[in-house]
Order: sequence, then C-alpha cells, then structure tokens
Amino acid sequence: MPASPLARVALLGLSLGLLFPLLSACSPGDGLAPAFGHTSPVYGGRFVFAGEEDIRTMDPAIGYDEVSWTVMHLVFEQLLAYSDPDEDGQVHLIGGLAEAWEVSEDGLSWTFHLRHGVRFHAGLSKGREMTADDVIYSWTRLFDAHLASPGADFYAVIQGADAVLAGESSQVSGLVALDPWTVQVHLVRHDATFANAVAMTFGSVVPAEDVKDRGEQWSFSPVGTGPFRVESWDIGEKTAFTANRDYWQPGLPYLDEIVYLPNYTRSIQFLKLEAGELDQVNRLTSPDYLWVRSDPAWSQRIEEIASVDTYGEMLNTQMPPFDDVWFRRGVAASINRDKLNKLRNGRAHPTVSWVPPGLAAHVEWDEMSPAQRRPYRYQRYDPGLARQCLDQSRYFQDGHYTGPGITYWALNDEASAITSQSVQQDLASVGVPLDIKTTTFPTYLSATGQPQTVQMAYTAWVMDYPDPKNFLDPIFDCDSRAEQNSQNSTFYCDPETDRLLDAADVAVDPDQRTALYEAAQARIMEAAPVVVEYHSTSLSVTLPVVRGFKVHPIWTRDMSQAWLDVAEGRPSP
Amino acid sequence: MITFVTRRLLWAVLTLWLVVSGTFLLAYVLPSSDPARMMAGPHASKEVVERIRADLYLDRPLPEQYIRYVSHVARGDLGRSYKNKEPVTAAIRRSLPWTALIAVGASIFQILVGVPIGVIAALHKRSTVDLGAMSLALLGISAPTFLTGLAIMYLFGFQFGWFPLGGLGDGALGALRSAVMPSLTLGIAGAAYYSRLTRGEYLDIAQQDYMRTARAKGMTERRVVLRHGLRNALIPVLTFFGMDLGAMLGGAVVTETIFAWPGIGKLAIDSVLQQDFPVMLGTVLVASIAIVLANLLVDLLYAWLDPRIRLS
Repeated sequence: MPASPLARVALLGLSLGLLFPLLSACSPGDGLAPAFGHTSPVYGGRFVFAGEEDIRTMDPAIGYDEVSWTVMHLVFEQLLAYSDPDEDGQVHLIGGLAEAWEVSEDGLSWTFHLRHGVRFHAGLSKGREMTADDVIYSWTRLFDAHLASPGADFYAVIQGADAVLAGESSQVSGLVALDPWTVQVHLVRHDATFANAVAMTFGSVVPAEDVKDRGEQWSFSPVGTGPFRVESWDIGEKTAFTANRDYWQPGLPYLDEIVYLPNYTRSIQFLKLEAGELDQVNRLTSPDYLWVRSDPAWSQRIEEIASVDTYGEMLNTQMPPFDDVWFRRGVAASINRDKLNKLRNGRAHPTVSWVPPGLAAHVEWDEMSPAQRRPYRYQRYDPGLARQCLDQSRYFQDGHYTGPGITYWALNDEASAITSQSVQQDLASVGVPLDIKTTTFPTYLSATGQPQTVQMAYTAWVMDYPDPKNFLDPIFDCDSRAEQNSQNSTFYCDPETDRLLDAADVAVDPDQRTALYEAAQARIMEAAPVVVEYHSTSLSVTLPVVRGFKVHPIWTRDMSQAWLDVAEGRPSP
Repeated sequence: MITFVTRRLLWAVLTLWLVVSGTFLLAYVLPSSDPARMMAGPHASKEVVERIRADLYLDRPLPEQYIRYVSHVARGDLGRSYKNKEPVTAAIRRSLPWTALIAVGASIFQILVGVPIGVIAALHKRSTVDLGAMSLALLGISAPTFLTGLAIMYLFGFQFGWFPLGGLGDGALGALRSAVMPSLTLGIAGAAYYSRLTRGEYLDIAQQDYMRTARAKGMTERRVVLRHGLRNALIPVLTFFGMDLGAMLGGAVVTETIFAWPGIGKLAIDSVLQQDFPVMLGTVLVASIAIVLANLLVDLLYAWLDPRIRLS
C-alpha cells in the first residue's frame, strides 16, 4: 500500500530532524567570503548594519541615544569634531566645520572660523553653502522651549541662552556672526567643556529654511552637511543613506550606500552576519562572543576598544541601610570585581575609579601611593575590610545584619542579570541578604529618579563627552537632586564635594582643574554612594571585505571612511 | 439581519470605549514610569524633562488629558508618537498591512494543513496515521512560538538560505518571500490545534444519523465526507478561526519580534517598552477593532454554514 500524504509529511519531518545536527556542523559561517585584495580604498557598494532598536529621531537637537548618534554622525557635522582613536584609544578635539578656532585668555569668548565650500545636501536649501547664520540658527534652536532639546543644558553657558529658554527673547545675545565665515560666542563664565559641547550632535549645523518649512516632518528626512544624505527612513523596516558626492572632504565617502536595519536581536544579527546579510555587528551574546573568539577565521574579524564608561551599583544615601556610610563601604568592599570580569568573558575591567581611563582625574590603584589609596580602598574586593566596615555600621550587631530588607533593582538585560546575581552572592557571603527586582528601563529610570524609592540598583554611566565633569557633576552634585527625575539617584550631597566640583568647573588651569576633580572623586569614593566595579569594552565584528570601519568611543560605529574590498569596487567616485 | 448587525456595532463602540478608557487609565494613572523621562534620556536634567512633559501635555490634570484624548480619538486623531513624533494613524497604516500579510498567510496555512490532517486522522481513527498526526499536533501546540520561530529561521533561513533572516525583502516579491517564515511560525500552532479540533468534531459528526442516511442514499464517500461531514465539522473551527484572525491582526508580538517584522505586534511591544502611550493606545484600539469585527464576521458566517442558525 503506498504511503498516505500524511505519512510522507511525517517522514519528511523526521528526515529533517535527523539532518539538523549534520547541517549544523557545516553552517554558512564556516566559509567567510574573502576580500578581493585592493591595496587602496575603492568606491561603491552597500554597507548594511543592524541594531536592536529603531532610530528614535534624526533631529540632531533631540537625538540623545546611541543609535540616533551613530546615524546622525553620517548626516550631520559640528564645528568641532573628534579625531580617530590614537594608539591609547584616546580621541582628541579637531576642526570640523570650523577650520580654526580661538579662545580668549579668560575663556569667555570663542571665535570659530568656518570652512568655505561646505554645502548642505539638497532639499529646500538646494545645496547652498553653509554660513555663520546657519550656525547661529542651529544653536538658537536648542533653546526653543517647545522643542525641549536635551542638548540645551550643554549650551546654557552661552550669554542670553536663558532669556530664549524663558521665552523672553528669540535671539541669543552671545551668538554673533562677525562675517559669513566667522562666528563669535560669548559665555557667561569659563567652561572647560564648552569645546566638547560644540562637538556633540546637538551642535550640528542645519539649514534654517529647511527646518522651518517642513516642521515636524523635517526629522524624517533631514538635511545636513555630512558625508551621507538620508535617502529614506521606513520606520521599523530600514533607513537608507546615500553618498554625498559634494562632500567637502576630498575623496570621501567611499561607500555608495549605507543601510540600517532595526529590531534585530543580537543572536539574529550574528546569524545575518554569518549569512552575509550584514557587514558588521557590535553586540554579541555571550555564547556567540566565546565562539567568535575561539574560531580561527572569525577571531581575526573582531576589534575591541575600551569604552568610556563605568558600571556598578548606586546606593541611596537617604534610605536605610545605605544611609550609614560604614554599611555602604562594607557593601562596596564585598563585591568581587574579578569574578564579574570572568562572568563577562573578560570584557569588564575592574576599577576603583568612577572616572574612566583616558580622562583627567582617572586613577589606577597600582599607580597610587598608600596615602592616595586610602579613600579608594573600599572600592576593591576585600572581604576582611568589608567585615570590619559592616561591623562598624549600625545595621550589624554581633556579626549579624539587623537592618531592613534590601531590594536590588536590576534591568532585564544580560549584563544586569549577571551583575545582580553575582552581587547577591557576594553580599550573602558577608551576611547581607538581597532581593533582586528586575524591571524595564523606563520604570527603572523613573524609580531611581525619586527619593526614598530605590535602595540599591545596577547603574552605569556612559560618557556624553570625554571629560571628568560629565562623570561627576550630573550625578554627585547636591543641585542635581530633585523630588522627581533626579539625576543624582544616590541623593548623595556633600558641600565640600560641591565646592570642589564648582571650583573645577571654572578653573582655567588644566592641572588645577584635574587636581580639583581628583579631590572631588576621592571624597565621593570614600563616602561610597556608588559601588565602582568595571569599565566595559566596545566590540565590532566585520566581514573580511570591510575596510576602514572604526569602532569609535563617541560614535560607536564610524563608517565615514569605510569601504568594501570587493571585485566590483571602482577606482573613483 | 440589519438589526442584528446594528446592535452588534453599537455594542462594539461601547466595548472599544471601555478598552480605550481602561488602557488610558492603566498607562497614565499607574505610577509605573514617566514617559517624559524616557523621551529625554537617562542623562537629561530635570529641567529638560519638565519642558518635555509640558510639550506632551503630561503636566495637565488627568481628566483634562483624558477628555482631550477621547475627543481627538472621536475625530480620528490618535495623536503623535512620543518617540519620533510620527502620527499614530500613520504608524498603524504602515504596520497593519504587514501584520495582515502574515496573518492571512498563517490562516491559509492553518486551514489548508490543519483541517485536512484532522479529517484524515478522523477517517483513520486509532491507526498509525491518526497517532502520528495527533502526536505532531500535540508537538505543534506545545512548542512555544519563540522556539518554533527560531528553529524555522535557522533551518530555512540560515542553513538552506531559502528566505531572508528576518525583516522585509526589497520589492513585492521580496516582501512575500520574507513573509513565509513568520507566516509559518504563526500558523503552526493554529494548524495543530485545528487538526485536533477537526478530528474531534468529525468523529462526533460521523456518528450522526444524517451521515448514515447520506450513505444509505448511495452518496459517494467523498461526497459524504466533504458535503455532510466536513461542512458541519467546520462550524466550531470557524469560531476559532475568526477569533484567531482577529487576534493575529491585533499583532503577533512574539513572531514579529523574532523576525523583526514591522507589524502591529512589534509596534505595540515597542510602545509598551518605551512608554510611548499614544502608540500603545492606538495599537490596543486596532487589536480591539480587529477582534470585534472578526467575531461579527464569524456570527454572519454561521448562518451561511448552518441554515438552522438565525441571526436575531
């Protein structure tokens, strides 16, 4: 009797099931397509990358997240820019749309000399040349109360900015166009980080007529001066950028097109990379990372650099038991940072310094004198010291914890899950019980911003710009505390720390400034409102044909000089 | 008939109002999080967050926000996304066709695979064929969607390379190719369930007098099965089909997330995770409308399938 159709289907299913392990052993990733072998950059091709989220916005006055910054770096430029990382992984401020700039001795007056021949992408501006008026319009726009730009804070030091923010004026008095190619900026006080603010995407130069005429539609296909223009943004599907062949930097860009695909999980991104559907990924699951590291072909394709960030725990200094400094110190000394590094596959570099490497005021334990080490000693794994500190706290009696129950707020991601469980184990070993509460990022953000709400939480600070001010002022200053949306989530407040931070903020001498930030950080570390654990690394895995791609500390992915080493590559644009 | 439809539509309006109001209260009253804070980003100062709150009308009293929202919805204006300022109606118009594409694909798969397997199993009651089919059906029902989705993607997308690994392909043909794996994922559990349902129903119907009468009248077995057996067995299947289709049109969250499919489900889950309340309310409204309309359609089809059922 011939097999029924159902039996055939069952047979096929069974066969596929048996074939599955065999097929897995010869995945497409086993044979990486080799590069063609061009010795210098060639033109053409489409570079495809993906992410877990869609672009939030392409309005540079609004965008304040990793994906938005990465794609906006293709489209927009600022007066100042960041160099490629040097041998030590450090980036430096260089000229961008300004070919030169001067600062007065008192640091209150900045003069930017704009490049000639920089043109906007087509649009209502019709590719016209950028001038000083565009710079003034773009920066004034940040203070439009209706726009509610998160970037306004970084530029608030400009004279007259507060009047525009308050709706009392439409012009920022501190922004002056001396001529079409010169912009002068007057500040109300010296600010050593103003140059960093100028280089942020918030400072991107946009054409007034385009922004005004297209209103809220503008952010869906914006116009800038960068190496790529926005071709299309199909929300939730893909965003395409095409080469700006009128770009002011000779010879750039090399690629014809860049495509961003949103909403792919890390594991699917890596499958797509293996299948040749993507050219680069910058996030891997732990199993994929270990596999890539161990595979002879793929391990050649991975690049890692130190991220400018710090991870750890926030301890609410106004809530028991963390209102006791000895308890905080004991908790900080209980955390085994080396174990965390192992759990993170060697990508979490243990530290005692909240300010990350490469920035002024960063400290290394091995390079400090015994006296210098003293305030930092609680930020190292030392179970003996942890016991001593805990015993001194009012929440320990006869070696037993007597304080209230502690809830640790964790995020629903891999890094937070690993950290929270490791911390729970470490604290249990010194007699401190901990409950873990896992939550979404919006809930976490709101809860940690309210006093008397979160006792202890996973925390991280990733730089806005590479300066110690960005790591200390917003989160440890008394004025950063608020009843709602408090940036200072530990609610730490120390008048002496504030005095040091305020003095550093206006210090003109760089050495004096660094010393003040070092002193402020030492006070903070000794008070332990945070547990400092590690600095992370950024990674990138590319296909062999990808050349000139850079993992950048600021922009994460820098494709402005990338090219594809393929046979179809053209010698000229 | 007209009275029935009118009454059902009036109930639908009431249902939708209750759903929208309930979701609005859940979103804005429960102290879970602050959308303005989420929009501003983790590094924004409290002043920036306050400016965003004012811009989004979140600083107004809740009754005023509610009246404003409902009056806008009544005019067909679902507001703008907090996240990217896109009008919610535009986001839904953009996403709904993609969800409809895989929902239709999954429905076709469910019916074309599930119903015949159920009938074949019933016709071969307690045979190896029956046992095999029902075992497969049990597997299909039990396996979670995220697992079947990843397995399908790995096998057909990665190993065989027949379909792109998620997302939308270029052009109409590319979109259709991309829709195959999500449709299959979405349809597997339904096909398995329909096969069990059809088998059970058919076994009941096979005992009915009219089946025996049909055979006694000399009808061919094929005609007995298709005209008398299958048609009657399909009535409960149709009930679930209607509800399934409505639910799928409301968004297949897991499937769309696995395959980076830009449908309503992905839009909904993203809006929840990012506290984008206008989009969240819009997707809930669409899901509710889809379920209400699908149920109405099923009620109307009942009358066609079984003339004894009268709509009154």
